[in-house]
Amino acid sequence: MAPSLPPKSHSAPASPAPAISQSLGGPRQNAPALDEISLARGAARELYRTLQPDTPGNFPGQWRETTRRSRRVMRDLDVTFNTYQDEAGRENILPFDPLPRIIDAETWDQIGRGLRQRIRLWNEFLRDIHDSQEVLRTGLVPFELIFDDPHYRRGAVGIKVPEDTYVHFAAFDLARDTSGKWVVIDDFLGHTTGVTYALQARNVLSQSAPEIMETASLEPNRHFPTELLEHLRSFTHGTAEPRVVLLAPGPFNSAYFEHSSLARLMGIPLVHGGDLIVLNSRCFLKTIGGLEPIDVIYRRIDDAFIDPVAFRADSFSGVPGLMTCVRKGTVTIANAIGSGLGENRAIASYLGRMARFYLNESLHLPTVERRLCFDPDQLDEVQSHFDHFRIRPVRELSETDGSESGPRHAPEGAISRNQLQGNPSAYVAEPRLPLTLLPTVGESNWESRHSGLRCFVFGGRHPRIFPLALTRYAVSAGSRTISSSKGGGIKDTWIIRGPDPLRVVPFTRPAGVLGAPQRRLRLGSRIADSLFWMGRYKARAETTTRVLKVLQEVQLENPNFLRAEAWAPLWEALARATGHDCDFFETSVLPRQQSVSQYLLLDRNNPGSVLGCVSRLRENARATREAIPPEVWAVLNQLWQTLDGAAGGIPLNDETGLPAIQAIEQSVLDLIDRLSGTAAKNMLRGDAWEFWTLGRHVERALTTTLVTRQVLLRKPPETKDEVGSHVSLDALLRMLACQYAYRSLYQTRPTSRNVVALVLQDPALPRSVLHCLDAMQQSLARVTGHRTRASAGGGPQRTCAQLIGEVEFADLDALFPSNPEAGNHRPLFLDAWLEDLAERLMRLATEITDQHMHHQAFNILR
Amino acid sequence: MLFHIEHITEYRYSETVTESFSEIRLRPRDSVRQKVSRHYTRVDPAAVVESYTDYFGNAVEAVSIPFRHQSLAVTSVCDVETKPQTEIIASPELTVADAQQLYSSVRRELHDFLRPSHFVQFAPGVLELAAEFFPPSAGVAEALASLNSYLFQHLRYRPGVTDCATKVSEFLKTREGVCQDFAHLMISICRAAGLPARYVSGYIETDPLLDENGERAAPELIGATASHAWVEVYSPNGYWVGFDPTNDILEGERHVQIGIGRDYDDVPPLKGVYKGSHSQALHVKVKVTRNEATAPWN
Repeated sequence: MAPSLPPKSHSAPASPAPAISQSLGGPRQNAPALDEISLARGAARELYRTLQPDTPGNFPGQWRETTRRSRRVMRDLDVTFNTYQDEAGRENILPFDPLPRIIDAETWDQIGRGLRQRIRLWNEFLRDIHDSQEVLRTGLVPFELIFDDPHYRRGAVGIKVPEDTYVHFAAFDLARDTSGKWVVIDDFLGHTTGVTYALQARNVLSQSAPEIMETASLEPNRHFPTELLEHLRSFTHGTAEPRVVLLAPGPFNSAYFEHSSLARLMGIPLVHGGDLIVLNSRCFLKTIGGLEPIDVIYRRIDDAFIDPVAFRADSFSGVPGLMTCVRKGTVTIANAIGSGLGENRAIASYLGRMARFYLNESLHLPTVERRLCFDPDQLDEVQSHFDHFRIRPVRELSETDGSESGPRHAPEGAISRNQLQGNPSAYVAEPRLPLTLLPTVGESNWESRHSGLRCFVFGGRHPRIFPLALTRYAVSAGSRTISSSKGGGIKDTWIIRGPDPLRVVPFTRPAGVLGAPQRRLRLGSRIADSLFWMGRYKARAETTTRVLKVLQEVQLENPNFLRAEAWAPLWEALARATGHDCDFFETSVLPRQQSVSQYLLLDRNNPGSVLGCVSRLRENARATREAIPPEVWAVLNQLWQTLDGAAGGIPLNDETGLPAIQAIEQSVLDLIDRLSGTAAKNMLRGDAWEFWTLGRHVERALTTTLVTRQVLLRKPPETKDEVGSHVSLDALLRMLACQYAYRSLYQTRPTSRNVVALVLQDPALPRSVLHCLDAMQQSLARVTGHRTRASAGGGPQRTCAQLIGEVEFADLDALFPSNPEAGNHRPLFLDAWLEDLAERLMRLATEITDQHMHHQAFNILR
Repeated sequence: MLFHIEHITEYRYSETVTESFSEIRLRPRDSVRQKVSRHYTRVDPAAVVESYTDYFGNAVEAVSIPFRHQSLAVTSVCDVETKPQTEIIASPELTVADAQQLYSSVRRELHDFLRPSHFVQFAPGVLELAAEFFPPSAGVAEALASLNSYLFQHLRYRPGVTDCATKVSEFLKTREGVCQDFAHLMISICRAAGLPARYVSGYIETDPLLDENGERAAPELIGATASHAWVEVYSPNGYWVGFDPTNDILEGERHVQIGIGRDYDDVPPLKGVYKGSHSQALHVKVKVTRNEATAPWN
């Protein structure tokens, strides 16, 4: 049976195909490029004229400056895309051009009308395919196209989805045909990428060139994330407080920036498969407080990976059993399982027919005129005019599927005649569309670049287009590569406010529900774990830097105090604080003959180095970026760049390089302070804050204990060597940044007993063990919600309370013999006690992670 | 014929598993040739068992165990009554070309069973055999019977050399495998020849049958611990007919069907995901016993 074919063009009848010479332009040649500015109408034309991008002689230098400013903003905001081609740099800052694309209200209205119809049509088609398949029974669309498509999910057929909605949110790539009319060249229904880039483009432009923004009255788009969230929340039946999460593959995915920033902008958790669990056909998020039921999953992974039991068993990104929830209708997946069918370019060619079949309408915005190579006649035509066509696969390998790494794209390059002949049904052929030109800011003049337009549409009962679009452009002249993953850049897109300005979308939920504030969703366990470790790495990096810095300063300040053994306690303290055996710096040869400073500050292979700590701090932050305010990320990034840059430079020499070393140390300490300050200023005082606090304080208490123990154990006795003892204790106070606190309290030179009393027991001293434990106890109480007696909470709360009691009421006089005999001056009791304290602090850290992060799902069956 | 079947599958994990989710396809299907009068599934550790029907009409049970466990045991018990297969695939004079013509009216419904699938591939060896056994002028019924015998004679039943990921092309090289491999190969050849074929998972009564004098009344049938797999080919008359190439017989009263699909991938008896352990050991025990109350097989 011959498959039925769609008309090849919306305007022409089914056959014959339009004459090649008319419709396709010259062979191999790209059709003569159309200029967007000359196609612009009305207010858009006026605006372009104001900005004067088409006057080569009139190129104000301020545009160059604007470009530089905007790129700096891009870097600060860290607007990145992971390109798999680039092995070295995981994240690349996207190129940005400040001259916006401008679309007038009328044009936008037409595009909107076309895309609203298109999303409605796709939804009808998908509903039909997952139900009675009328469109296949009537032969309107060849069933082979559906059944052989890898995105046809047999497991989703027969399942009713909420509101009959398959496509909740979609993107469409538009281009102009040779006559300047808009056509759709790609449909994105499975996963809709690019929306945060579009938002960031506006953000960057308004930050770097506010004077340009003032020239126009534009449709605002900043509220997009909220609208998307409200939109998604409307697809739940009867849940008073629908919970929405964004399910993404992880930080190694090419679109991780987009996933994390979107989740953050929407105020919802970004989750990975392992963060969710299915119980009795209900999907839950593992949080520090227990299991939280989830109602809507905004997925950014291919549905092949969404449930390893129902679909691909090799998936680690999915949620085992999720399909049982879908089947029972307890969770809404947006877009629905199976909607990836809409990314099949051959199926998209049948939309014209489907419009008549499902809606009894004609297609407002046509699909680019395609030849479907599975049809022998069309294949013949393509083969005999091979050079006129651009051969494209029927569907792309998705950029954001569930796998963790590896190249997503087939190698760039044309498909040969033989490839096409060998597997014709895998390809479609399209005329070489012009991809219209837009001016960009060059070094000394305007430069024309090919560009594309992506629009975003909400689906459902009442589809609507959002006044947000992504303009991508090729960075080099003549190039048609606009994809961000292949190095293309982005521009802001201006949609001019029409006479009938922005219509506020009515709330879809009843007013009563709207007014009620939701209980804040508890923090995901994985995020809590990351924040806890971020806190620990931050404190660790700080201690290492500070201890090393003080040691170097003390050596400089006491040039006459040369006996090596006098330094031993300080070196041993440094070793303990950085996770080495205490005699590490005396007995070991540093790897790769590095200097001590190089090894401790910048060695990439030393996990305890400051760079090592900051790298892991940053990795953890990256994996939880939606929980980290962008301001914090910016400082953290700067800190990492400072260290990473220094590590790439000339190796540090402990003696001759001291000024350079001290400069690094100072900027690291400054940046760490800024990091703490920025976090304190910007982080919500919620669960995330508490775990960041817990991590910092447990680490700080631990290093204070270890450093103190080591210095006191080995420092010269007070009775015999006044100078040595004084220098050691003084250094200890400086390492713990409490010299002022000591002087103001005791107003005398340091003694061991007083120093210990201060660094262990002074509740007002930020680095004292007691202060840290107090802070932890408060955090734990807030996390568990127990504000009564801490010991009632059990687990880490009980341990913490016990430690507080012991430290607070420790009898130091008993630990320090009041009249030490010569030779028996070493506070051995104190030493054992501090060693024990350190061990118990470490146990407390383990208890915290066990209680809140590695907790077991409730056994709700018993 | 009435059978009582007990099927115990047990996974022992090398380390404690913190959560697991499994899908079980063990409930025999109801069809014109068999009726399930009783079936239950028990899971240890105890968990709620939820069921649904999949795309191919198979009964599926899903089990989520969200707490620490060392092992997972699934016990499926059922009573099934089977009837002999009386329909023939096609009248002797119907040729392969005729059959292909007849299928075209139901091409859409049969599409899945005519295309390659996960385990079913049109490898070069498959295409050769398809051309050899099913020239357009050959009689369908005879060609199928001789293919069934050919596979039985030229392939060796040998457990352990293949696993549930073995593809047809590998099996063609080694020519040793289990019922699943036999079935996948036969399905591949049929589909390559344009004959719709599907995979059947089920049980087979393997005990040797004795007549009144205690002599063997029928050859001992082969199946992996009584779990078995075979093939159904779509008859141009509009029903499916079972072939068992591992035993060179047609499907009969001693076959109990569990489920059907394009290949093994659609009907694995147990499919699961677990977290926390690196490896697992699988123990399967299947007992198919003839119910005393029924008349002896003849």
